Amino acid sequence: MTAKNSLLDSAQQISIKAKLIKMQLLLAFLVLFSCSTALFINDLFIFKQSVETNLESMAKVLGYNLSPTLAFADKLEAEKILSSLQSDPAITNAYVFDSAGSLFAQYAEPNSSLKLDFKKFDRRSSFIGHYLVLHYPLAQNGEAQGDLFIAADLMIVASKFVSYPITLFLVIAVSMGIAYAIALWVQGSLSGPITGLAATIRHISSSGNYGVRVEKMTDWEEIREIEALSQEFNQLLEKVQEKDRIILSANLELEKKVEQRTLELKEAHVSLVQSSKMSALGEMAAGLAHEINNPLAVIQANAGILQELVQEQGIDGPAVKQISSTIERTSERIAKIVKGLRSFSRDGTRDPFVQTPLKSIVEDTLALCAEKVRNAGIDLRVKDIPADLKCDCRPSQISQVLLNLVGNARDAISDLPEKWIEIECIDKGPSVTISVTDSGRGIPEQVLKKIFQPFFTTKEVGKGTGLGLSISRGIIEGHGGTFQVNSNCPNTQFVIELSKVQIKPAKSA
Amino acid sequence: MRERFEKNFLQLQLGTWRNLALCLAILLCSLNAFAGVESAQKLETAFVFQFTNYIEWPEATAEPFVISILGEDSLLPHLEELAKQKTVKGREIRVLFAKDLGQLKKSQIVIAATDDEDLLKRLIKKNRGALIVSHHEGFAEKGAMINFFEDSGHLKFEINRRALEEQRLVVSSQLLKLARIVE
Repeated sequence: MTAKNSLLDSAQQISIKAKLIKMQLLLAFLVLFSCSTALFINDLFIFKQSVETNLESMAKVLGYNLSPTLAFADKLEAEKILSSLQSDPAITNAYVFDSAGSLFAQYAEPNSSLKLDFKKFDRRSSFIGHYLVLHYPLAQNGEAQGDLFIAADLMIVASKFVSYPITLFLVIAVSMGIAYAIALWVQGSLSGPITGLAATIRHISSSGNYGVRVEKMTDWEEIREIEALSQEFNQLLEKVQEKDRIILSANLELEKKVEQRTLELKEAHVSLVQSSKMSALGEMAAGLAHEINNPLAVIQANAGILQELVQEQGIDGPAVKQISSTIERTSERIAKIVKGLRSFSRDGTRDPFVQTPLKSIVEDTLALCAEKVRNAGIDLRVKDIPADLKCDCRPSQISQVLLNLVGNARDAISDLPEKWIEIECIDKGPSVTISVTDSGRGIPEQVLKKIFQPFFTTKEVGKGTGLGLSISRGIIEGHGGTFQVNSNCPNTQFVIELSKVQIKPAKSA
Repeated sequence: MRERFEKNFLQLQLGTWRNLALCLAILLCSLNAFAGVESAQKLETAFVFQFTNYIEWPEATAEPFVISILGEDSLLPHLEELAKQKTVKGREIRVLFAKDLGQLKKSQIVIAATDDEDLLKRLIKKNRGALIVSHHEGFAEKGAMINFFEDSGHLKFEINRRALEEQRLVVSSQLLKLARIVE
């Protein structure tokens, strides 16, 4: 930064107050100085004139008296007349020349240092050193009679001019003091409102309260420009406040709308969950018919055999026992399937949380799908689950998630040479994990990002809804648990983690 | 004075060559003295003219201002020369010469160029409003209004105020200041 710039900067940094005072003081000084200089010059001029007038009237008197001495060449009388000048201490020298130009009479005070060159003296009056010399031509009846030169020592007359600078200095000093006081007062009335305005702006920007207004100035310090500025600023604030109000109300309206839409979305989600359940149910219908038909066929066949045996051979104790026990088991199995089906098809979202053994959840789920999995040539492994491993949940919902995961796994690995699905439950202290792993080689990264998005599917058209995983995650999050893909596992592994004890009832999914 | 000059000249003619330098010196002195007389007469003439500035005559007229010389005519050429150059308050100056009182015409100034007391007395008696100027010791006391005298080489004058008043001539105080007053 150059010196000039820094100077400029510092000039800009000066407050209005200081600047105003400086300018006013400078102005006052200039005015005072020029006035006093003008006065001084005027005084000097008047002083010179008055001395001149004095000298002139003195010269007139002298001339009147000297005229006859010149006429009658009476030098003695002339010198006598000139010596009368002793009575006036200011007049130091006088010279009388006759018409021929030779010195006729003279008078000089002993202290006088005046040296006059009469030949060069052509003006009426002139300053020579501190002497004012007047040239007075002597004439008689309009005829030149000679010349009178009369000199006054200004140092004697001008004693008042010695005190002049002191007086001047005092006047300027006092005036500057008054000017400073006035400047302070004026700047106060000017910078006060500006500072007030700035304070208001600072207050508004820090508090964000647009309700504040710049106060009206008191009459004595009212300045039209600043008053106008304040009014404009107040109007601006008014507009900002109005805009603020509009934005706020729009915001509220928007929030209401968002709330309403969220509600609608939730309702839609619930209905979607239900419909996906129904679709899963539909999918199961075929398997279900098959599952039920086979045991029923066995029951029918065995019932037929039982009837034939009863007719042909009479009642055979052990054979009847075996057949009837087979009928019993098969019937139990049907009853189980039907129970599972019933519990699955129920809308479990409003079920209470129940301490449920994980073992029963897994078994109930597998009862619905194990047959189909095994029929596809898949090795379904369930690691041993401790009977006392329980968690707070809605069992039907967890069962739905497991069913979904097993179904997905089955579809994913159906074409692989190595086909297995493993279900494992692990006690993690305050929580439990249920993992479903299949023999697949994991999920590609691009797909992994999207698998939890609703309506995303990699299955053929018509086979999947793309809702399974998103609904499953909704359910687990509804339980306050986590549902994720374990990318560290070399195979495809989904892990569900649930707390053993629900601290508060989770919201329905 | 002329006699002395002639005597010297004779001495020069008659005297030896040794006296030549002395004679020349005397000649020069005489010429010098002659010149001194000339300038004294000129000054006296100038003074007479200057009196017109400080004295007022009772009559108001545009007629020529007459200055008459009574007695000797030695001032006449100087006065005539002055009359050509000057006026008295716009009035032309006429210079007259009168050998005796009978020839004297009405004048504003009469210069009594005489040492004859009797002539002066007759002049005063006959005077009708003229300023009488003389150059002889005691004449002021005898009734001449202004009388010249010499004081350590300077030409001075004395004034008889009573005589002036008798002829109703008003004299300026400025003039009185420079003059010796005779009652």
